[in-house]
Amino acid sequence: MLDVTADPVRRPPPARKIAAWAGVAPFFLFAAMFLIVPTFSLMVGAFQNRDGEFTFDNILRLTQPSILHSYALSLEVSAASAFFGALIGFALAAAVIFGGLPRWMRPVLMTFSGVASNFAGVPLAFAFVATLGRMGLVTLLLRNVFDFNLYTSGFNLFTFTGLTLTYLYFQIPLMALVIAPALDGMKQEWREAAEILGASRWQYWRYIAWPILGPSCFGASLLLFANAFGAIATAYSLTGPSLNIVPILLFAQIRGDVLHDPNLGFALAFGMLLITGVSNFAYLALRARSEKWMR
Amino acid sequence: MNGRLIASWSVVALCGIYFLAPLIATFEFSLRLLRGHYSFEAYRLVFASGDFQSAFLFSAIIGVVTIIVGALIVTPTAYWVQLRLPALRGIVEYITLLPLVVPAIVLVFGYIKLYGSNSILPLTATPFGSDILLMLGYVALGLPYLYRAIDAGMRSIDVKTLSEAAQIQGAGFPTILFRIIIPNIRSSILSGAFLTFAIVIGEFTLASLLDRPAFGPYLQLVGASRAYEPAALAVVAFLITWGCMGIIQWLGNSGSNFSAKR
Amino acid sequence: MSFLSASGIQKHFGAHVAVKRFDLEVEKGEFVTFLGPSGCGKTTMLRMIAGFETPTRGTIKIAGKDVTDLPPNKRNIGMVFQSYALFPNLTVAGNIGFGLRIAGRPPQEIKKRVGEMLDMVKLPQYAERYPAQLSGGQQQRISLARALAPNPQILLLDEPLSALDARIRASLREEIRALQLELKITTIFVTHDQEEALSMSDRVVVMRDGEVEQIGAPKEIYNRPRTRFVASFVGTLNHLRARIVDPARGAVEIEGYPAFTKSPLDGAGVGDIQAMALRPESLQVTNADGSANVFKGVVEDAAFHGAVVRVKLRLKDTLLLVDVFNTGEGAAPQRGQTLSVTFRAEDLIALQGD
Repeated sequence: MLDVTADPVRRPPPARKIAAWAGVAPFFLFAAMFLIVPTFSLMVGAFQNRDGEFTFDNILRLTQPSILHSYALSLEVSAASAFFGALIGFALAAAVIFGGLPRWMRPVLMTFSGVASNFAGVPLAFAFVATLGRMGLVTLLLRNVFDFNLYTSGFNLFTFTGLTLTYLYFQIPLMALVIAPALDGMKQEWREAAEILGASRWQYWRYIAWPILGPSCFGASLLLFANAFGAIATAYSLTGPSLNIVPILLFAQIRGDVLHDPNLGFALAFGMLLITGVSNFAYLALRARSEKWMR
Repeated sequence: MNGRLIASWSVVALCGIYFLAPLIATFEFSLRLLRGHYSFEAYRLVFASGDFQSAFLFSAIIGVVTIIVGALIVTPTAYWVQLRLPALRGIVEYITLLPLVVPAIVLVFGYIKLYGSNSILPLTATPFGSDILLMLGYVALGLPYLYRAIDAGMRSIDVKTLSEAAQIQGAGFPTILFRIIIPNIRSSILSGAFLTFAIVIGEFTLASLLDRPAFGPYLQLVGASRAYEPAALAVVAFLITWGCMGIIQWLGNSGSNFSAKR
Repeated sequence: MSFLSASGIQKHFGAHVAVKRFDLEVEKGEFVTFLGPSGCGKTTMLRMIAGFETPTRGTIKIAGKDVTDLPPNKRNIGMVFQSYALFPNLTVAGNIGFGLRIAGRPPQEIKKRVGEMLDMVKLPQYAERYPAQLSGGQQQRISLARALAPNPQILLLDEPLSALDARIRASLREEIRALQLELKITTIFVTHDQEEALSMSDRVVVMRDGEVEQIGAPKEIYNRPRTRFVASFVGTLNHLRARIVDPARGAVEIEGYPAFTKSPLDGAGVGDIQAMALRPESLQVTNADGSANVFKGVVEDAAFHGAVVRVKLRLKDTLLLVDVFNTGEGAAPQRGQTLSVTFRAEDLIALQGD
């Protein structure tokens, strides 16, 4: 029953807010238990020794030559696949959006990119073995039709080059998906306004288009970089433990394939998270900034 | 003008070759099992194999449970944030970004440390506990996509007004949720569901390190031991992924059933 | 010789004909408006003058030079776009100075000019702001400053006020016209808003379906529309069907009432039906009865519009719109009241075309 003599300023009955908080509680509980705390516990573990005391030891052991080599390899593969993925992905998206191609190509590209960017891991490795492996279709084609022996000329699918090439299969579509909104935001009127003010095509790119797109492109490259750095399934299936990128190293540590040293594992994970965390954070910051412009 | 068209077509053509070649090659390779002529023998072997069936079934079931649990966690959250707790939106979206920042291998390592045999909640000690952990890990992996899909769906149907209209009629929260909200965001939930399913089916890292007989580790095992069956499996995996994505596209185009645009 | 001339312009986009036939001579310093509904070809025509489209046929000359095939960046034309099109990554100063920077002017000169332009559009403190921080009206003024900074020979405006709300539109309209008169710059303005067209222009080009319906000064377009389309597009109009009684004397009969018109009725035969028009404001309330040029009817509605009371007067078959000035004295016409209105012969317009 309404109390008409109550205070004129009435706050919503507490019961409603409680219901809301109860409704979101499972989410936060889940996030805490299965996202935040596990990750955090790893980070803490990186600075602990077996007895739980605080130490920098594990981090220092990361500077072992073999581990440094791993990180270097990971950084190279990630950087290479990010760089070329960004370049080609940008070209592809630009071609479909601005290139004067038939309209239907854009939705097809976007759908395909959606599929391809998820087609990573074990099946992708299989697919590339079937293509560029020793008995792969393209390898055979090159030998039988063009008289060119891929493997004697030094190429090997199970190396750095091969892995990068394989990674491009999901990096390029990811770039296309991520940069498409930015390209859409490039209004045609800017180009026309620049032109009527006397600018040539090149001047438009130099003073207007590139400064606007640049941060988005760079940010997207960082996303690609982080994506490649954390990927393991493809590499594991393709090169197995022979190519010592960091995730594979970590994989071995967790599985106990090597001298079981969990704290070193934590340190490895910490290093990985630091790198992917910084890259992703930078990507998000750059994206927020350019979205502000594109109002 | 013309130079631009030539450049565009060249880029698309080259990329087309790069993307189609592995698909064609894989398919061709998968037909090579029987010497001398093409056949679907590799597929027959794969589908007949008990390991394939059990691994696929395992992942499929985990996938379905993941979707249900995920939806149960996400839907009320998205609902209440939009309706009553808009201040939480920022932190909720930040949390949904975490799975994209933290690589799966780091996440599962965290699980093993926290829920390992010597911990308070030793989930990894039993197969069933590991299955639960695996499923929850998949919920985490799919969280960004699931949340975004459901949140977008709720925004498009103006949840606030619908709820208020229902409340005036005397409906309580469960009624509102199940009879009004969910039917209207059906296509968003389904989109999120198919995406989650695609992720779960192909996933390797979590399943392998938690030592569960899922489809991902099965694929890797076959790849290490057989020659032609992996190619057949890759084709199957690709078709499943493509199928899921295709359904999502189709759902997106047909739009949600009743979108209240004023 | 005219400063800007477009002769025999045609524009096809594949099978679609956007501009069927366009001829226009514009004097230096003139303010000409292209007025018409969406799809009439006015924006296409403007873009051809700018150089973003090339005519399928015809030539465009500026200051005697044939520019038909000249690219836009060589025409020395300023343009203001409907969506402002300010470069988001440059400050206001960067935007305004862009044309001069491209032209390679020294930085000192650019800075000075930017300051002048900002003063001109009355936004002197805004040099270091970014477009995203400005309101719609401010962005449009900066857009104008940017277009004028390099001292172009022609200024083009493509529906610059459509995206703004009504009050800003009105004040910006005056500012633009005042600026144009001060700078004496040849200006082409495109709009679908007849109020803008009439209040700003030296001449108006009314367009429909890719063709020119009428070119003339605003007063002429309004008071002496040549076709039914122009008459109804510009201002409100009463459409009447008259029967010709005596073409030489301009005598007609409308709904049984005798009327005289000063509009030429050449070519019409006795008994023909002629489309005619009367502006609501040209009808005056009167006590006269039975004379020519008087209609008598019953008031169906009287809506108070502030300065004017818009009366709907029911004749036999026609509903006449009458604008009665709200002079403050006497009662306004009431519903159901019988009213007589009169008009001058000059105000009864004969229309051609459909």
